[in-house]
Amino acid sequence: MKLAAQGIRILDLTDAVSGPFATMMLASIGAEVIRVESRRHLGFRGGPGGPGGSGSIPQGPDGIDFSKVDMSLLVSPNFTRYNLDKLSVALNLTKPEGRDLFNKLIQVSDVVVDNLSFGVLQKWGLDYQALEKIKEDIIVVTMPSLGKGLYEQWTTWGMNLLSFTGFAYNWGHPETPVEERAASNTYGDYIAGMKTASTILAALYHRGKTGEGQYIEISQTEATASLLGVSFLDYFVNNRVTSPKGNRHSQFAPYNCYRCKGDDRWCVIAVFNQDEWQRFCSVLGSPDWAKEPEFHSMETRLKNVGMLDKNIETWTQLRTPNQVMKILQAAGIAAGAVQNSEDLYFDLQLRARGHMLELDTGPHGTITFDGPPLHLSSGQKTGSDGAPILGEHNDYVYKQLLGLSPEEIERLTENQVIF
Amino acid sequence: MPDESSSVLSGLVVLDLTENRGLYAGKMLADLGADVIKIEKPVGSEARRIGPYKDDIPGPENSLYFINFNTNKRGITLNMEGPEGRDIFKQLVKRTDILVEDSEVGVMQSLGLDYPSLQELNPSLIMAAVTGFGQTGPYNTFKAPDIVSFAMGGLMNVNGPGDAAPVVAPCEQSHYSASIVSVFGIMAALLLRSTTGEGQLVDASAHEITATLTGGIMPYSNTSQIARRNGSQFGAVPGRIFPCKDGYVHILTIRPNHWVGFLEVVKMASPDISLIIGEEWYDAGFRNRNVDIIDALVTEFTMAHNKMEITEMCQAKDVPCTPVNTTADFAADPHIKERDFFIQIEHPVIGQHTYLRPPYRLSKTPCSINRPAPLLGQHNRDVYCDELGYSSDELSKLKAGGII
Repeated sequence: MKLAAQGIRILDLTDAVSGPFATMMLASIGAEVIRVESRRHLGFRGGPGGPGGSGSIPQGPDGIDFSKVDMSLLVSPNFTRYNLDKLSVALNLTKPEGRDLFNKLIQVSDVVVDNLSFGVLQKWGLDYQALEKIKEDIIVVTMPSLGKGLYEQWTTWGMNLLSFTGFAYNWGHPETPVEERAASNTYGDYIAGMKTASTILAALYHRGKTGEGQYIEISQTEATASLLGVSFLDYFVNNRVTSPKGNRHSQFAPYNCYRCKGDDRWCVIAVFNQDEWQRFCSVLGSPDWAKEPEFHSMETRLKNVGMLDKNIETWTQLRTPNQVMKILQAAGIAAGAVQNSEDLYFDLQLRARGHMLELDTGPHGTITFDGPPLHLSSGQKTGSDGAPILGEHNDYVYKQLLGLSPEEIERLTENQVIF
Repeated sequence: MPDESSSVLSGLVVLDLTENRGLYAGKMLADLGADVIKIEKPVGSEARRIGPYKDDIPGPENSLYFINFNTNKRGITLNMEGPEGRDIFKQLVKRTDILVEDSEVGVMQSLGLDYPSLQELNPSLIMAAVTGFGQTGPYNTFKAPDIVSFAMGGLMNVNGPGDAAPVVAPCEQSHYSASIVSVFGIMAALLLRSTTGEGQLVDASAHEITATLTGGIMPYSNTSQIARRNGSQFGAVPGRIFPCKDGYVHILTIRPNHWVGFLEVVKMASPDISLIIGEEWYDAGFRNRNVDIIDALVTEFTMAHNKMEITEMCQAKDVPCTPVNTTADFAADPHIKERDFFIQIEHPVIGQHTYLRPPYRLSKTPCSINRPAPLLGQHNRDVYCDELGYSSDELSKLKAGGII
């Protein structure tokens, strides 16, 4: 089967979550993604905290001697999950000769993606203006946190950007203090990654039609802020500054998260019309409270929603999340378990769809990863070859792609250019 | 039609049948330059009945929810429940590159408009079905509004305060995620089509993409630990939102150098704070075990300063820190303004309003907002008469017959 991005070569200068996730998506449809990396900067390879951060690399009194680190140990599960099916070449871009080699790689590549700190590529003479001269139709993609402008030098992680964009402020229960609102996830990183992957494919489509390459900037800040479009419109048109709405809906009730049987177990239920309400009541065994006039119409239910939810919880608390889901869905009512990470692992639906990817990771044993995030009827890889060791594909890149002699490779390795 | 020849997807025609979870897919394609034709029932899309509304007055042309997701699309009406409407739809499909729909599994089939039937009319058609649970699997017919997909995808359980119920994200994020991943599938299919000539069905599930973005499966598989929610806390302590003099800041010390830099900031800015710091404080594990003491000290520091002061001091030492913004704060931010992230558009009912610029900044094929969200049936004449060749008389008859 032909893969959708077969024949496309991507040089991947990204680290952390958003960039690697973007290029991994492209690898999943057959692009040849080559991670250009160096022992000098191990980033996520050394665990999420980087070298020294997670204790995975022994640190001597003078810091880490990177030439002595065993690279085969630096394929952590957390690194693997964002770097499946990529190649890796060791290349030290801080050396001028390393940059010469990079330019040679550009000549045989289609796309370059980076999320390095602002200005690094420019400093190295590897910005779009320079690369375009080496290969006219190259597509150069940068994924900054904030993008060119006043704060271009800021150091941020994805969680900061949830706070910066207004996302965290709006993510909580109405009574949740700002300090406790949800800002501990990498949702914005993933979103920026997915948007970037799609935009790269769009640019490749355009290049296929016109022969034209280009420069693309997608800031994670803007990619994340776009997800609050409705709240921003509410502000610009109605001058309303939105605050957290929690789990309830302003137009429908019941619509909430309810406590279930067990420790920290929850379900969600959503009822959208009178028909569904009638069915809901009969599934609950037509309890007396449901016959009270306070709950007769959507309007009155919304008005008495506190009491309504309390009554519903007397029923859900006697059942597990999956029981609530199965019983209500069988009656055509929207309901779901609030799944925790264990539930996800055992999720029948995900498993039936072939979502789970079991990989032998060597030192870490067999681990299950998230597989395809969507299903194409053709052009998508099935299964995975895992993530690369740093420099695993040096031979392929230096010998096959660039045609260097063994002597030259030896010299470059000695000089810590191939490093 | 305005000239869109310079956009990256210009020349592509998209039919958009979506009502909720697929709305943003068409929006992305329109922002990237495709001609997206939104097809609504003659009474109007369900999305027109979702608030907020301008001045809080409900009305089909007043829904800011509808406007958010449909700006840059054209709009026509079509009743696809009858054979005549379906026949017109099939004529449209023949001249379409991409079809996006988000109905429950089985609905398109019951209308005789499932992918195999449509592919017979147009072998190069790419169809994206954006559903709650996907086309296959035991839950594929389960009802799945945003809160169900978000809960089942696992992202809800790990978000919210540690001592309260899990909480869903604002603005229906499982819909956004499902739409965005479906566009990735559409783009992949488009690239493949340019060599094979054949279209395909893209099957996107809000549940499945949310599970991917939760990222809970690998850690559970690896450690058998169940992830818990814990407010804004992430990584090493301090790593959360802190109150300050004029609002809130979000400080992270994930890497060792972050903590070193943060210590310098605190010592410099608040020499009065008694920081009796031993070697063990450089160990993230030690800090995490003493979270209450450390967060209290950090709060003492942050409460003495303004959010931008703290942010600038931290940034000078490469410590990840930002202010915590409301939508209004963000809209007023000088960096965001400098980048022209907010633009003005003119809507016939809403009037002139501010809108978000598409985040994809392409140098040679820039995105542009070419038109406001369509009024109900605004482009019927353009599409049915100018493009499909119906006469004005025929158009009137279709209207009278409730077909459009």
